[in-house]
Amino acid sequence: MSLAFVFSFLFNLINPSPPDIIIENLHEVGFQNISSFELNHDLYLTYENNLYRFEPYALANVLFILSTRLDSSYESINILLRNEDLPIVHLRFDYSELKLFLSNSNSLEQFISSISFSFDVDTLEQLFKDKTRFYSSYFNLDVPVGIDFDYLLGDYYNPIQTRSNFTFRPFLLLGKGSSLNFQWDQPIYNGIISNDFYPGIKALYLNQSYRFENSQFFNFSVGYFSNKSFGIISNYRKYLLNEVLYMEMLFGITRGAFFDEDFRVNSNRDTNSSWQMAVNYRWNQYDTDFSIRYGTFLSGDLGYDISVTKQYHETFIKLFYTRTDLISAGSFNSAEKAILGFALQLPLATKRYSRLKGVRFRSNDSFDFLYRYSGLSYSGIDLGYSNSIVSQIRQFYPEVLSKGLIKYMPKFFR
Amino acid sequence: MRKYFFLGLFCQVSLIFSQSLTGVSGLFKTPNSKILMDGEGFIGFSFYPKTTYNLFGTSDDFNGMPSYVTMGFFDVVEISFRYTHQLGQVTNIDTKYFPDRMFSSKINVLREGKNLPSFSVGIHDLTELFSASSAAPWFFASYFVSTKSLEFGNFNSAVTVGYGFDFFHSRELVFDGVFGGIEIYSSYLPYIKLIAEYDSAFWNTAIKLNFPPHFNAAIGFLQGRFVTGFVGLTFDLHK
Repeated sequence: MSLAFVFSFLFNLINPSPPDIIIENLHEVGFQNISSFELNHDLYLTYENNLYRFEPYALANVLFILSTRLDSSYESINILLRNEDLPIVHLRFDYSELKLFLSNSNSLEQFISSISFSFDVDTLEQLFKDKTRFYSSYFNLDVPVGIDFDYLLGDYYNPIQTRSNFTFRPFLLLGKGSSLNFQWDQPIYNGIISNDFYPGIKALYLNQSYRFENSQFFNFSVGYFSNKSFGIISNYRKYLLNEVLYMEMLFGITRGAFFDEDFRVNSNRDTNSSWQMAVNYRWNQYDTDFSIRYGTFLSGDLGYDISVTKQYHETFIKLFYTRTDLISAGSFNSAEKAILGFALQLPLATKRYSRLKGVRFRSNDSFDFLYRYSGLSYSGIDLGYSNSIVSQIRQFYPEVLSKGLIKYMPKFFR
Repeated sequence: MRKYFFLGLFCQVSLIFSQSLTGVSGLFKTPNSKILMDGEGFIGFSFYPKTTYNLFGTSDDFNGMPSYVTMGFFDVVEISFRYTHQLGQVTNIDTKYFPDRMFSSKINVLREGKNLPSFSVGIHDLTELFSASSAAPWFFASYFVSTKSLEFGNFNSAVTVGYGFDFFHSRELVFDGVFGGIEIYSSYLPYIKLIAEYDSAFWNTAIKLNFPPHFNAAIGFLQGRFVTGFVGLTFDLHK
């Protein structure tokens, strides 16, 4: 018996199976939480990308690696993309379609149209449940570094006020969907009159995300948040029709407080409960989100926010209109009944980072800029709580992956 | 072959000829009914000589310089955000001056067909309509406009007719009544466009220049006598 086991082990060592080769090849590139097996002439693969800035770019590379390593014995390929080791999106295609594309019999567009993308991952995740995932991303410290820029319309003495910070946002994955998040700000320049501009801790919290059946996400965070509050916040999101529609609820109990320059906690003893409900419709043809959000905002004001967010691969342009029961004096003594503005998220230059192993310093994924037409108004400010998988989920949307593959696959399949 | 090369090139660059002095796509000062396609946009600035515009009642003393970014969405809507500066003007408690900010939008209701012109409606300086600010909309305009392209062999033109109206009872109105004009271009000179327009008060003429792939500019006469123009860069976020 033991002789048969040793023989089998040695045989596998000398002649590794295609799933084992794929696991090794993906690891050599830098992918993590990888698992692969074959079942009934189908290949199954799951992986997590912490290497590339944008998921479609990473997926294009994975497809390229698969195309060079697979043999023709497979009928279909199933791939499950993960984030924080949670399953996010599933894609499946016939191996024959990949061969037709590789032999130039079919175009790239024809191959991509043959791929079925789905947010329904429950069945596939069950298949991976008992499989070992190799090259874990747990307990590796990822440290994005960037520059934050704030802009404020002031008064006639100081009309345009700006400030900028070096920010360090270390992130440590502790387990499946479980992470420790930290933010340290190092001031560069301060032209905004405020009392909180010093080197120090701006956020420190534990976050736990869950994915339940039927595309339900639940997330809660405990700790100190960048909006200067301590407490607990939670968020529930339910998707329908893949990414087309989601409903979201948010609830939090926090106390206004912050770490001062000496790392002492300064509390104003005001405990707030905040809640919001949102509905979001995704117009896939134009990668656009239409969102209505109702509830309480950062100043405790009650109101609504209507926004349209246009996505161009990694670039986001958001236009918003917010109106709450807080009518405050805005810039230059104008009366502000509502807030109109836009937000930009622009990708930074680095498409690929170094391998996440031990401690990794890297640049931020994007540069974010928020423009509120009313500079000094405290009405309708985002709760701005925590980072979680739902805040990064748009790059996993099936339609975004599909369009991204059309753009990025030619870079690998030359 | 050479002819088709130029025709193809012109088709590629035609949209980026659409920048105008106001920041919204158009002829020289007046808008036309053309819309930037989804993801297309331009960023630029233009020059308003003294007395040719109205801002804080100090326009006789300072030249104006609008700077703007404009983008097309869904192949139907165009949105522009603009700052209008006064060159040499100082911001302080005495002058109470601050560059004017505004959003503008144009919606394409009807696309141009073989026999039908395109048709659009537009509003400049949207913020007062949304109750987002009590500041005066110095550059307010509400209008509808129609444009039809006409082909004559290697010479082409686009004729625009629009009407600016006071539907929202604004304190200022940039286009008040009938406006319109004509753009003339040729496949022999694909980077140049000639423009003559009536902006509901004065006649203006201009020449637009395109330097592929991204740079474009215009120079012309406002009211037939004030030299002005703009420069800008185009982009396409889908690429």
